[in-house]
Amino acid sequence: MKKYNCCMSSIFKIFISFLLFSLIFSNALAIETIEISGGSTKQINIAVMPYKEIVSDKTNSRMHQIIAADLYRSGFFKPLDVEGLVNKPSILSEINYPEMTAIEAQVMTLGQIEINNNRIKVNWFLVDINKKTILTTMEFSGPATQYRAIAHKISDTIYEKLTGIPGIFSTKISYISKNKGHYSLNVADADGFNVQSVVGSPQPLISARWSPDGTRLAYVSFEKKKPIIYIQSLVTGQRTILANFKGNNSSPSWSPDGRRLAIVLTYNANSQIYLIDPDGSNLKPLIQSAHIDTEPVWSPDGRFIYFTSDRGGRPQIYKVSSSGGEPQRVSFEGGQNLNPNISPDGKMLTYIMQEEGRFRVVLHDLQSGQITKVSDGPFDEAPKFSPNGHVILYAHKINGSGELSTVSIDGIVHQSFNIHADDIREPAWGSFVK
Amino acid sequence: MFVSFEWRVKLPQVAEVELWDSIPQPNAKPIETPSLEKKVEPEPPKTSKVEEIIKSLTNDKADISMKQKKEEERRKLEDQKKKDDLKKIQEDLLKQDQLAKLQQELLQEKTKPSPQKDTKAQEANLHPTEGGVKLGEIDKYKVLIQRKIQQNVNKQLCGATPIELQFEIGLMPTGELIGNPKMLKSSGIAVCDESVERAIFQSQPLPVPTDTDLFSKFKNLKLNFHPNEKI
Repeated sequence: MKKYNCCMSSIFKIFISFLLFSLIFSNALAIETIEISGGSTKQINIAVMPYKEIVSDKTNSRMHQIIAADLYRSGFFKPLDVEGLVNKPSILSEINYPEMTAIEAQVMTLGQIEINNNRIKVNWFLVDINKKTILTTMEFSGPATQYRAIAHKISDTIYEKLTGIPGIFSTKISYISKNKGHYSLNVADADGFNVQSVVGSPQPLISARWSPDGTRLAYVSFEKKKPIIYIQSLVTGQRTILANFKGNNSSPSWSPDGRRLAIVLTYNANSQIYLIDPDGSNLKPLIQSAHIDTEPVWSPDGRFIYFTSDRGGRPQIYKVSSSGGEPQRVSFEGGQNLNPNISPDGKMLTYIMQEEGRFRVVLHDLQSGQITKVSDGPFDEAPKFSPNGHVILYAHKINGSGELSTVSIDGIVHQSFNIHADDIREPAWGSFVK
Repeated sequence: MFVSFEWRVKLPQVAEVELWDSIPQPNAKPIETPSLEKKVEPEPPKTSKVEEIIKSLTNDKADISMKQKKEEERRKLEDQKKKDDLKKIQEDLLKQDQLAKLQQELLQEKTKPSPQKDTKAQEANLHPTEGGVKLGEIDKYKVLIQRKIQQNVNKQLCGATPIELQFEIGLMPTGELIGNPKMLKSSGIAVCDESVERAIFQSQPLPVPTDTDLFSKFKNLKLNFHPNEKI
């Protein structure tokens, strides 16, 4: 017992002295704590330096402009004005950090481009200015015709690195333009460049929708003097008739697995929603009513179909199980609501709300019920979520002609595409490129 | 430093457990020596008071009902004074169109030979002191720092669920960081951690007092972030 006591007391002395020591130490260095709740929507300041074209070396590189425009449009980034800088680094050793800090850059990207024998190779870096560390370094290469595609891929990589969200800059969009009485269904890059016509017609084209794998478009053409739904492959250009029933065939919408489509037929009476296989077989009515039901859109889990209906008097958004049943009303605010589209996570709807004579894009949080207006109108239409759900693409009228615009879902960054036509309608956003 | 702080808090509990049944009482007593506890006591209430003040500042439903009994009257009065002072500071901040102007003021203060000539000298006299340091002044700078950093936190990158991050920073008298912020607690979301870290960097120079004694309180700071909590 004595031994034990002795032992214990010595342990105890050490223990107490340690306790005292730590006490004195911590008292001497008592640290003030500051609580910081909430935050802002502060964008990331990025310096996108001109990528130096080291072999062709003919003109100024455009690549950084494509990247900066992509990042700006996303809403998360503020590309800084770097044109006036004397020092324009294209390799790490050339970076002048104090100069970068002076323009309040938080991150910067720089790189070099080699174009040789119609091949392009880009070596690029993403650098943390504060910590002077490399966040990403990569080499992208391909045919020289892929110049813009490589720029978008760099944008995607930077975006995902800093936001944790997959970038949408390499995805495709579609829209319908009308010029001098000629209609065209076009596919373009997500920044509106590289426009290619998929189909043209002197008769109206409407309601184009991408298949989930991004290889086909379903659309409605009036070329046979009545609306018929076609499916066209973007790979082969081959097209098939999906629906050519008595009356109008319209508003196709792919199920998330691509195995079914919801379409709208006036087969028996009013516009009614049906389900059909992509080969045109297996037609079944989803709901039947004495009202107009149209613009179906599937929830990402495939369980529900949101649609527009006048069953309450004026057009409003409703939802119904994809196996049928009793529809539930979803939208209650505004004079009328139409053109629904659902976010990839299924948590938000975007649609056009008509209020006080203006047609504007709204965001509807399906959990909280909160509705936010993200565009000003007065004639906006057909909003579509980007595949990552962070940007909305929509069409609108400006000075009598059509235009496409995007808005970040926080409503902060609005950007118009450099695409103009007498009329531009019904944009749609293709899925991620695999 | 952080480790030693943890030790101090946890040791008494560890001791209780480690004294087992078999250990005679005499050995146990030293651990509970009042002197130790007394030394421990003063510190936590101080920080918690400050926290309360900060919380009451950030909380819409601030506790106004502070009428209490005679024994605690002094404390309460002091608290009330501090709160009033802080409210004044906040109102000032709002009136003066945000931080920019205040920072200008502070810069002006810095250029003045003595802080006593401050326009708020009378106010300063009202501030309770502790260890020769004006608590009101400390709180004022804490609010300024909190505001400056908060503006730069992009909470969009921090998801929607409540999360907490903790950083420790070292500051130079100019308000610039010494080295990189040290992350003590991660949000679990890498881009959120990085975003908050960028916000700290971007907030340089932080508004710190020119007075050397006061500055010593700001040399090292712990920053607790709750990006998804409403202000």
